[in-house]
Amino acid sequence: MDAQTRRLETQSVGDKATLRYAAAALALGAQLVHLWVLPEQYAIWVGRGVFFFVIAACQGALAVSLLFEPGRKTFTWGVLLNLFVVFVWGFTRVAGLPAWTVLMPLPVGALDLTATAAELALVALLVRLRRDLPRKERGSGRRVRTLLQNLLLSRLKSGALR
Amino acid sequence: MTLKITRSKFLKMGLIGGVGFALPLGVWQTARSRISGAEAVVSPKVKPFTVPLPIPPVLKPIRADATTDYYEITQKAGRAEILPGLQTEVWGYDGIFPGPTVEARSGRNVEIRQWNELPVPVSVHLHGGKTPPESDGYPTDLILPEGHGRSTSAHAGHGSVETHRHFFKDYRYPNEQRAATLWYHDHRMDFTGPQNYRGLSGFYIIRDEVEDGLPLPQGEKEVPLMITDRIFEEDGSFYYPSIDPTLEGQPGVLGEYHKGVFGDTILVNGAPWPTMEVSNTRYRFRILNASNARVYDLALDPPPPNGKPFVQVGSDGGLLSAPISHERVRISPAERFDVVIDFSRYPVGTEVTLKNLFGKWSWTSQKEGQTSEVMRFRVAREEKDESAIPGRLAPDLDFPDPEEAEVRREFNIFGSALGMFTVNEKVFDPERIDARPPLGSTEIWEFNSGFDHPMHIHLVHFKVLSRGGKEPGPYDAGWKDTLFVEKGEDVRVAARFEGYRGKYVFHCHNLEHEDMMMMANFEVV
Repeated sequence: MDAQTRRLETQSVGDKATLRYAAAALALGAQLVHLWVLPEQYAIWVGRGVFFFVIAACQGALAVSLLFEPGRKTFTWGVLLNLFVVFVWGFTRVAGLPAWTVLMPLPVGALDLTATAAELALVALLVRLRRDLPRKERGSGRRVRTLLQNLLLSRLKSGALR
Repeated sequence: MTLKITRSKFLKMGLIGGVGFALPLGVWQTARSRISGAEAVVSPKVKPFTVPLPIPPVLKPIRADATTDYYEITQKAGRAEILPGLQTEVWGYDGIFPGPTVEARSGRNVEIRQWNELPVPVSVHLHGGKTPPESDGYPTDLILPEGHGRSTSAHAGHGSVETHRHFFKDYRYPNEQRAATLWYHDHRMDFTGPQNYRGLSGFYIIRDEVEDGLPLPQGEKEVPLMITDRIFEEDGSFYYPSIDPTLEGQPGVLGEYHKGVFGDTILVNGAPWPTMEVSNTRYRFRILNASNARVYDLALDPPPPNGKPFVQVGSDGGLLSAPISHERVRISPAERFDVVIDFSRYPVGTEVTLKNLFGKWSWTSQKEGQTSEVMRFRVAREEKDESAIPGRLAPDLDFPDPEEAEVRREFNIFGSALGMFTVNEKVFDPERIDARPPLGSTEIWEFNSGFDHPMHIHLVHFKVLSRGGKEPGPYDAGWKDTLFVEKGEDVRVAARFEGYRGKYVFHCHNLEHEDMMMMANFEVV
């Protein structure tokens, strides 16, 4: 490996780290917005407080994980989490928050718009970071496949599937 | 097998614990503390029966012509010494609480120019008034203060019915109705509770020839009593547990208060547990419960040695056809009871306390028992009594005939979930019409309740037909515009929709329930 290739590889690793740190910052920002509105949401209804608590906790955990060279699983969960949060935000603004048998649309505010923008950017970054990671077969998947193969082989040997 | 934890892993776990769990938990705890703190606020102690009963001033018209009396009222902040030695900022009509009393004559127009010098939007509803829709104080028909933008409500979906004016609005009241005790109060969407609480309410009394011809107590012996309950902070300011105390953002109240804000200090005409000196004669009291949520069960202590203490002569919609005697008077928010108390049955020198037999009840134990007294009468002198309570008060009341009703509607008034209260499982939407009675038609409306709700229908007065399938209760006599529906009860009323076409609301008059969407529209077509 010549010096230029090494330099390019180092630069690529550095770029990925920058992206991860940016993603961590976005997750942390989204967490802070959720924490900021948590007391008001709790005051309106405890259920809304619980929702914001869980989302804030997950975003915080995601932000920290992104700082420590996470695997594909973390990125996958991060994408799903943020897509879910964006979906809930969109649904409650367009269709509405379910209140008994009707849906009550919630107003769009600067704060929730900021958080949603951060979450969308976060999804984009996480997808990009996840794509760059080598695909690794998950341990449990491998174990299940081996089990099935062995089962099939033993059946074939015993003539049960003839 | 050994579990190897690297320094990096340890740091990661620690940070996840801190950022992902401890930080949200800390914020959660702060939110909880705010609510428990709000529920624990207790007013400074006041010695009852040391303050004289104030009587709200009668508003003078700025001009009059052949058909109309013209008034101006400015809604603004003012200061009052409600608790002895402490100053309270009130938001009042002309800066006072209660606001000035408007005296009107049946059939003669009143026009009131309402100026808004408060920092928030307002809307004025004449409670009990047969009023054209544009002057009825629809919740989104707002008078905005100077420099205030249009977008004012947090409950979304208010739609195109919003109308806004800056600075002032002229309300026109035709007063085509019987003599009655009405009241005017704030009716702003989402914030009626806190704005009434700060003082935006006043009497509006309509008189007519029928009433003039009766020998009932009058002049100084005809006394309006506006009963309210409040919580005060240590510095004397009103304490209302708003989620957003600026009344600009998120509506609603904290914690248990969403069931209704119950104060620990009883005010009558804005004075805490006041005293009134009376002679040993009859007095007529126009009792209004202007509390946000509290229901009172009024009784006299000691009771008179003979006969029942209260003789009811009028209800929400004016004089009864004949007087009714009561041992007690149960009055829910926004109801009015016009009663005569005969103090000649007490020796001079007796102190008679107006008690609230529901007063021991409270959401929070700290406040228990403080609201069981309302005010005190001191029988101070002898006087000749020229008044009387005739056996016949008014011509036969022209109640709607339930047989004529072509439509019967049922309204389930339940709550709360998700912080909301509902009518027929729907939260209020100004664009949705839930009933379209034709002008002049009679309808039967049935309210089924899952909790105690004082239901108020705008525009019309109604007759209570039954409670829980039985005869109407002792407090259902006469024309009503507010109906106390107890938990688990179903109450049927008959109403004739006459006067004006247009859109009106009906709602729970527990103001916290109203603000949390327990309201619906009907349109007279």
